[in-house]
This record gives sequence, structure tokens and C-alpha cells, in this order.
Amino acid sequence: MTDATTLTPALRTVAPHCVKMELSMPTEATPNLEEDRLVDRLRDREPGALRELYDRFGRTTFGFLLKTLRDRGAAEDVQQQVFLEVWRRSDSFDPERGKLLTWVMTIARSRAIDHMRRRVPEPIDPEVVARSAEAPSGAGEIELLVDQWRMRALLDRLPTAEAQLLRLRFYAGVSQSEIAEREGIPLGTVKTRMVSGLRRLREMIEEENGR
Amino acid sequence: MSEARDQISSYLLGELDADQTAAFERQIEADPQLREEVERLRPLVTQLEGLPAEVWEAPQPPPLILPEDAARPSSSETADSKQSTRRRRLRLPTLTLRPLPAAGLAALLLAVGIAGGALIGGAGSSGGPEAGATDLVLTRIDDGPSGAHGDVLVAGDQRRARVDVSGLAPSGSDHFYELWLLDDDGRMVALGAFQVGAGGRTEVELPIPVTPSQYRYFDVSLQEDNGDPAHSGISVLRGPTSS
Repeated sequence: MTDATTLTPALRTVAPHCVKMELSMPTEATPNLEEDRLVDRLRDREPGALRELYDRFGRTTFGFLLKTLRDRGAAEDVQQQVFLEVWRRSDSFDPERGKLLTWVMTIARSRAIDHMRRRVPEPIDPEVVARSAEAPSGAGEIELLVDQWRMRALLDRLPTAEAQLLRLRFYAGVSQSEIAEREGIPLGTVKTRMVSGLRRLREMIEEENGR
Repeated sequence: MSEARDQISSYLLGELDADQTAAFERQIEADPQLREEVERLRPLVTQLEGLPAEVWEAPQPPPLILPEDAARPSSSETADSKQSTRRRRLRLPTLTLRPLPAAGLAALLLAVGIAGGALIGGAGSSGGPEAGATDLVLTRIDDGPSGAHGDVLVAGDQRRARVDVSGLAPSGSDHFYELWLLDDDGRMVALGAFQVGAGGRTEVELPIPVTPSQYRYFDVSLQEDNGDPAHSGISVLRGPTSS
């Protein structure tokens, strides 16, 4: 029942060095193992695996679909289609050819394009036409959205402290010295965590891209 | 070199003044390794700077309608699921936490941990605390990420709890989550720590060394791995100890 990542208070109190040894493993080891396990469970059609996959990527695909389709109802429909397809085609996923996130996003992208192609001849209502005009039209724009939302999924995998730091800097626009002051941590620590977060994110992107 | 490394982020984020920038660029010229590191991170910083607000604010996805063969009620989804869903939406007040003296708490943690190891080991794969169990809902509170939720399934004998949490940020290597029992007057007992991986979901079983009903809340905190056994004051989920 208790998984290997559980740390009891006793372990933390009595043998902190043991914990440190475990935590000093390569940072990408845990996500990889977790992903491998999830892939195995999907292939075995284990109930619960799809729900876990949805917990992991549902927000990313939905954000992408909402932005791409500009229609909440359509995004919700396509979101269901995407995960149904993931479940049905989980046998065909080949980890040698790419990571799970990239595969799920590829399916989301394809279903979004299908949906847009289907609706193109329909708009008559000027409001619908206007909404369609706002939607991404070119393949390049959709690729950019896929990249942006993939980045979001990878940001979610960063350790909390690093993710929070990147969010403060790049979303809230807070400088490193302001972060240090606001969070009550030394500026040097902020800078170290910033570089470490960026480096980790870079590694995850490279891994996703198969480099 | 290490000093220069500390300046990488400031340089890439445009937080150095003109003199500092010129000095750092001279260092880059002289140090191929540093140059490589800067060039590797530069496009990423550009990408992050161009990430639209809606990506950071990612909306909550709709609930997934599971195909029949992918749906199986988990142990935490009882016949009372409608009520559970309703309770999940309730927002509980944040408490001001007054930790017990650290030494006493450390001793208690040690005792809980040892007992926990024995109990969990004994539970094995017997299927956990379902018989006569009480399912309690954990609801996100102020410090929790949106979409975070969980359940605590307390065994009929009230000696064990199965905690199932979802939507939490990965704990990473320098943080972990901890389950507590706590009361309005600041009394609290740590029940055990756990980590959350990239999927944001974890299910763990922990021993309960005290009577849960003597406390008001189950509480999940985010703790920094700094050796301090006290509650961090950062609570992400909380729920009542009785249904």
C-alpha cells in the first residue's frame, strides 16, 4: 500500500542522511519511472490509469484546446475525444518514439484540427465568424500553442520551490531581488534556484524532444 | 566560476546594470563552459517571457467521462459520492497554527514513525482499511493549488488512514507533504510524510496513534526538508475528522 516514496517521520528524524542519499538521485529518474509505470498500466488497460493520465495532462490539453478552438463547449467535447482515443490507442504508444506528453498533445492537436476543419464551412452568424477569425489559422500558430502548453505541463513537474520562483518571475514579473525580499530568502538562493529550475526545465524539454 | 554562475540568471533576465553586463560578457567570452550554459538557457528564458498569461493560469479541465472499461470506483469513492462531491466545494477557514514545542513534537514524530512502519508493514496487501471505514473529504485551502483535493479513509478501528490526494504540486527533492491531525487551539499530531510526483496524485496509508475525533481537522501541509519537525504553516488541504 505504502509506496516507495513515503517517508515516515522517524526516517526523517533518525536518518536524514539516508533520505538525502535517496533524494540526490538524478532528478529525472522519478518522473521517468512514474511515466513508465503509467504507460504499462495504460497498456494493461488497468482501470484508474486513464484517470491518472487525466490528472497529469488534462489541464494542459484542455488549456490548449480552449485557446485553439475558442469555444468552451467544443473544447470540452474534443477533450473527451482526446482521452477516449488515448485510452483506445494506448497499445500503439511507443516510448521509443516519444514521450507520453508529446503523444497526448499530438492527439489533441490532430483532434483540434479535425474539429476546426469540420466547422469552417458552417459559420454564418457574424459572431461565430468573428470568433473563428480569432482562432489560430495556420499550422505554425497551432505548433506554437502546442509548444506553449507542453511547456506548461513541464513547469508543473518542477519541484515546488523552483516552479513558484519561475512563476513569480515570468508570470508576475517580479525581479529576483524582489522575490528574495518577498519570500524572505537570500538573493543568492533565489539566483541558484532560478538557474537550477531553468536547467531542469531545459533538460525536460530536451528529453521530450528526444535529444 | 561559481560566482559567475550565480550571475547567469541576472544576466539572462536583464537584471544587471551596464557595467555588470559588460563584465559578465567578458567572462562569457573567456569561459566556453559558461558560454555554453548561457546559450543553452537563453532561448528558454525567451520562451518563458513570451508565455501568455492564460498558459500560466491554465483553466480547470472538465471532469472526464470515463469509458466503462476505464472506470472503477476507488476505495475513496463510496456510495456517498454525491455528498462527498458537494462537500469538496466547501471552503474551510484557515487556522492560525501554534506548533507544539519542537522537542516534544520530534519525540512524538519518532514514536509515530516507528509505529507507522510496523503497522503499515503489518497491513501488507490485505486491501487496506475498507471495512467500516469512514471516508472524509479534504478540501483545498488558501495555500493549495486550484484543483487540489483528497480523501482520508479512516479504518473502522481508527488506527489507520488511507490518504488519497490529487492535483497537488510535485513535492520535488527539497519539500514533502505531511498529514496532521489538528485542533482549533493549535494542538496537533503529525501522522506521517509523503511525496507527490509529477502526476500530482499520491495514495498512502498511515497509522493513527491517537483518536481522530479528539481533533477537529485532518490537514495536509507542504513542508520544507530543512530538519524542522514543526508544521510549516503552509496548509494545502484540510477536512473535518468526522463526516
